[in-house]
Amino acid sequence: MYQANITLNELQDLKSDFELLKTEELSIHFGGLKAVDGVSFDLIHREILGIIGPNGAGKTTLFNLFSGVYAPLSGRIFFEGKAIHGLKPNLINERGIARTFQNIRLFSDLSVLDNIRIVMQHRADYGLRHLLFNTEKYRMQEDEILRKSREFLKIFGLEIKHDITAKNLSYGEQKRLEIARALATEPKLLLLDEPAAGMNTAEKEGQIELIKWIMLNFDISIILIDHDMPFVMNLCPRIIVLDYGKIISMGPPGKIKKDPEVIKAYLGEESHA
Amino acid sequence: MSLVFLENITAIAGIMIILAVSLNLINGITGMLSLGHYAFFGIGGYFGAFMTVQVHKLGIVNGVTGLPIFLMIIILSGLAASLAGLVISGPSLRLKGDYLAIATLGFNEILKIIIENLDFLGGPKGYSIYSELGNRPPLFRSGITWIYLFVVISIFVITRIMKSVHGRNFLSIREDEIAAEAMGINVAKFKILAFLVGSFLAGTAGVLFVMYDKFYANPRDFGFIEGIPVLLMIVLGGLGSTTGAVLGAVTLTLLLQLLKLIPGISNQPVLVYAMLLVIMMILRPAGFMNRKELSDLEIVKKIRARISGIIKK
Repeated sequence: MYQANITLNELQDLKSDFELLKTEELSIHFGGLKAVDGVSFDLIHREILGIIGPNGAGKTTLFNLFSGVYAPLSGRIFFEGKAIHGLKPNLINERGIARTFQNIRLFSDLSVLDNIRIVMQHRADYGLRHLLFNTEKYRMQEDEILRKSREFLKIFGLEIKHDITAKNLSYGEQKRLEIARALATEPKLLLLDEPAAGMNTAEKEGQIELIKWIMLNFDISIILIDHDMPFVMNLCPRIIVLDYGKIISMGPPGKIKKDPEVIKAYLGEESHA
Repeated sequence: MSLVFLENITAIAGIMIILAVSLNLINGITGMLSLGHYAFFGIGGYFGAFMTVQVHKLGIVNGVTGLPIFLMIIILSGLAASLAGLVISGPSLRLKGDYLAIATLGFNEILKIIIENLDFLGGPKGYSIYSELGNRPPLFRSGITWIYLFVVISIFVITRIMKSVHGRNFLSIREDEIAAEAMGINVAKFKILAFLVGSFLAGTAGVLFVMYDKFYANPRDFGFIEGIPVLLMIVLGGLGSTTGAVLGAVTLTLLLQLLKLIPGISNQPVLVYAMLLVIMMILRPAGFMNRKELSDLEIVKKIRARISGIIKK
């Protein structure tokens, strides 16, 4: 459905040199556990960056730091040159970072349309007077939100399902709706937490094209987490490998594949094998 | 059945509708389990009673100024209650589910005990406008007209809010707070807002109740246990549906009033609540309306379409 028709190398060349996100020595501990430990990297505009690592490596915690669910214990995060660490999640979203969740978190008892409509709230600025008395301003802004929401649903092929309760969508549709919802907040950076989880090989192929297509069409950067090595390697020109909260390797897929540190983290040391 | 009895039932139903609709905004729509709604009801009642006595003592009430002064008192009592709403919305930002329920329950009981210990509000005996005014009734009172004016205002305000971005923000908090916040919705602001609007309306219900015919604010009327029927009403109607809240309020009020006619059961309302809840859980666990509003029903849509068709012709 979504054909980006673009190779990994071409993706690599697309990157501008504008630095969108930068982290410096980011750390957070839970009790004695160092979930994220001194992570520093930066992200360029129009880049798809993959983060991989074994279970419990701190990938989702890293996302939670970016999206403001946690404030870092030490270290700093800059987005478009401005510090965002410690901001509330809704303020971070206003700055232009949107995310999806590992275990889909839709507004599951509401309709598909309402799921998108809710996050369009930043487009309306009418007050109580306007909504109580059904003024011109209220109607215009509400119509605009409705039109835009339908447009989003159309892009993601969910238009005919706009009336359906979100929890009754199929798993794949729910994942797509969650991405659509995140994009409806008009982010500059999209964080995808396991976008290919629970999918078969064919669906994963489709997901790769969809993500590339989103990057090109919305002109944004994407960071994604996944366990599936081939999925990430086919999608991301640059990959970060986390283990025990630390970056153990960073670079293009070719380099990651051969890195002995990465092999050790995934397969264990030779003496144990 | 005498006319007075009918009038009383209608009045009580109206007050219950305001309470149920406003509690539904907090519990059903925004998804915060609040058990302290009668605290707002009580504050509105006491504040209204106290203000009524004060304006009478000042001697500014006569046949002409009575109505506007009473309207002012109703609004001020609502504002007094929403001040308490602001206080309780503080913990709501940090507590969820059962914990918030316990905090709001405690808030309600604390408030009741404070009022019982304030001598200028009559202490545990309650605050009687009659005796404060030297056994004379106040020059204004609430009645069916006043009560249903505020019923209409409550329903109108809440239905309009629910058709706006603000209303959808409330819903998103109920559905998934973490996702809502990650999608740029100021969860804290809208939780506070839900409490402010809900407590304001409950406060107005309080004055209307006290000023109906008793002219007497009794701390025993405003405990959390007394508030349980309102919770039952919105559950019966279907949590989250304003139409359901209205239906639940009317049904339960009628039922309880009719049961009063049957000797033996009339002093066991809790038994009736429990039975009603069990029956409801079996027959229709999502309540009468199952989160739908009147305007969502197929038949209403059809009628609307037909009416607009006739108008076009």
